Amino acid sequence: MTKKNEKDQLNILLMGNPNVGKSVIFSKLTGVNVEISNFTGTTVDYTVGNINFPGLKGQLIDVPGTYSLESTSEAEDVAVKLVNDGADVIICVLDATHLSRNLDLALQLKEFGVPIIYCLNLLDVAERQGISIDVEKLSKELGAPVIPTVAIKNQGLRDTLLTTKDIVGTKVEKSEVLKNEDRWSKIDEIVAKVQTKVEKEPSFIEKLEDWTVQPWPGIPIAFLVLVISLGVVVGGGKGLRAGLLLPIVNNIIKPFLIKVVSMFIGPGILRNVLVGDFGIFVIGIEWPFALILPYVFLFYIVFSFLEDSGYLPRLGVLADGLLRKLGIPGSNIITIMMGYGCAVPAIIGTRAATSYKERLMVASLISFAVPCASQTGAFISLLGDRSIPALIFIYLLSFVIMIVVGLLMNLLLKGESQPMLLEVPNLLMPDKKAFLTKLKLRMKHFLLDAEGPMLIGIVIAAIVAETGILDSLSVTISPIVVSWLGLPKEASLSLLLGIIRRELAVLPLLELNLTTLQLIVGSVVALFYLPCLSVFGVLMEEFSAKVAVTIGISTVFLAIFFAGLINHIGLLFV
Amino acid sequence: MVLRKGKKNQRYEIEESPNIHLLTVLGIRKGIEVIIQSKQMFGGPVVVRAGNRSIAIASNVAEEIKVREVV
Repeated sequence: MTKKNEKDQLNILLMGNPNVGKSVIFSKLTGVNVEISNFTGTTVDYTVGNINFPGLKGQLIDVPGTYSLESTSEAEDVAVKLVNDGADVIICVLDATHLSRNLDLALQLKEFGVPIIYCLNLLDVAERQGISIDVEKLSKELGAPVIPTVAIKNQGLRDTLLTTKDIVGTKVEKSEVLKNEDRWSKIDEIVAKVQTKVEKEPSFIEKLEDWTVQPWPGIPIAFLVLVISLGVVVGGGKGLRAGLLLPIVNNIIKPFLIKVVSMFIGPGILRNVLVGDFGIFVIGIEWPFALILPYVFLFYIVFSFLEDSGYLPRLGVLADGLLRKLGIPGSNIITIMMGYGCAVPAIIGTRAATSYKERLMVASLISFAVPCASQTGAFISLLGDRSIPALIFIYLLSFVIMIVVGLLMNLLLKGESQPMLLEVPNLLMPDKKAFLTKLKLRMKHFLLDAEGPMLIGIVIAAIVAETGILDSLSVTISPIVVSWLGLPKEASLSLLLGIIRRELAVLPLLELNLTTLQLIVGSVVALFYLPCLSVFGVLMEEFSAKVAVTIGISTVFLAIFFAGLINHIGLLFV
Repeated sequence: MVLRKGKKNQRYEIEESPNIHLLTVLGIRKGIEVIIQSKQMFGGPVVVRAGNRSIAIASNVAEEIKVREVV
């Protein structure tokens, strides 16, 4: 349930269809402190922020976007509950480019007797499409204030707040509950009265919108988008790492820390643990900040941009036919792409799946074969300078395994997915503020959730490696590491640390002077190996302990089995 | 005929549509006119334009939508 406010705080709901620019309005109306909450007993999350405007103080709830309130989905249930929970005002966002469909929710909201203000948003896009709407008439038809807005350009937002302030506390009659058919004919009447449309020559964006849902040229465009994205993340990451972060870390931070520590601690185990080759302060700075962070940062820039531009659902449409052969509806391609950033939010994102089977399959694919951005950074450090074909091989292999795992699970699991029914949103330039807020939240989560365990892993690595514990441990698992995988026994450290963080299964190999075959084998182990501890945790939370353990054990088995196979096949050719 | 068999860039009026909630709230219901914008490979969805928006409809659902050509 929602947290109750202090007495003088208002409870304001921001509602609307999906893809009407609700999140942009939300980020513009609220301050910096934004929280994501979960509606108890559901998988639906909503965002809460504060409005602090002269004469208008309260919490603004970004209600999940819904097309209606008929309670046919969890999101609709949550929306209804939030309204019944004591809303003081509803700000309902309407999409001017598709008024008729938006009016469905708009009219249903009037049945609750809560003061409403409508924001007629995306007016610039509507104008571009040759649509004009008589705002005054619409306001009369709806019996409530309608504010024309172009949220992305900050137009109409002040008016929205001023009007919200005015209607707080006004008494509103509940409107009569209409049957669907009656409501729809009423909508047709309203639209006929308020909207005029002239045919316009399609603009470049409209042409692009059309091309990106056609197999031709949509599929080549999709490849181009993916190649550019990859180029930005991989190329940009390498540049940032080599040109900026590594020099700073190696020439300034590390020597400084080594000097400081050496001043206080004499030579010996403790000094080695802190600043030896594997020392906490040495790799603890270099790995997370120079090798991993640039890739994660650039990945989230690219992904958030694609997400906010409205492009990703188009990929889902293009990929649906093919992915469905694996038993996965196309829209999951977005979740899978998210997994290339980090598996944790991607697995939470599988909540959007339409069946349990679909959800389990996507989560498994992500855990098995989708390397996260941290891991990509580690792979590039390991293989990028030695053998680019090996790097490409690893990523091709991950695709093959995804297909194999998908096909197998589709055969073994029972369940049907919902057919694709999806509104393809307009393409638009992402709003800077909404984009930066999202990027900030994502980076914050990465730094808190990922860097913490990573530092713990590095502390363990430092202690184990610098104190000699590793040597005795290596003996125990050396049959696997040395005979089956063909790696030096020091590589045992990778297997051990890979449990904590995925990229830690790769990074210790950096120091070992391996042959190309050994590098490939090591990378394959890391690719399929147990997702990190955080993934294990999120699988337990989102699914069950059984699912988490099954995925955990099968990934370890697959990793070692497969990498060993590659080692033995590879040895035949070397 | 059914929507799935329709031609690209052709305008159709919907005569009968299955009672799927999401479909109706997306504006795909009896009496509405749509233009087929694209058809996807490998049995992927049919994308139609209804008003100013594009809506992707799975081919098995498009199979159940009865339409009439509009000239």
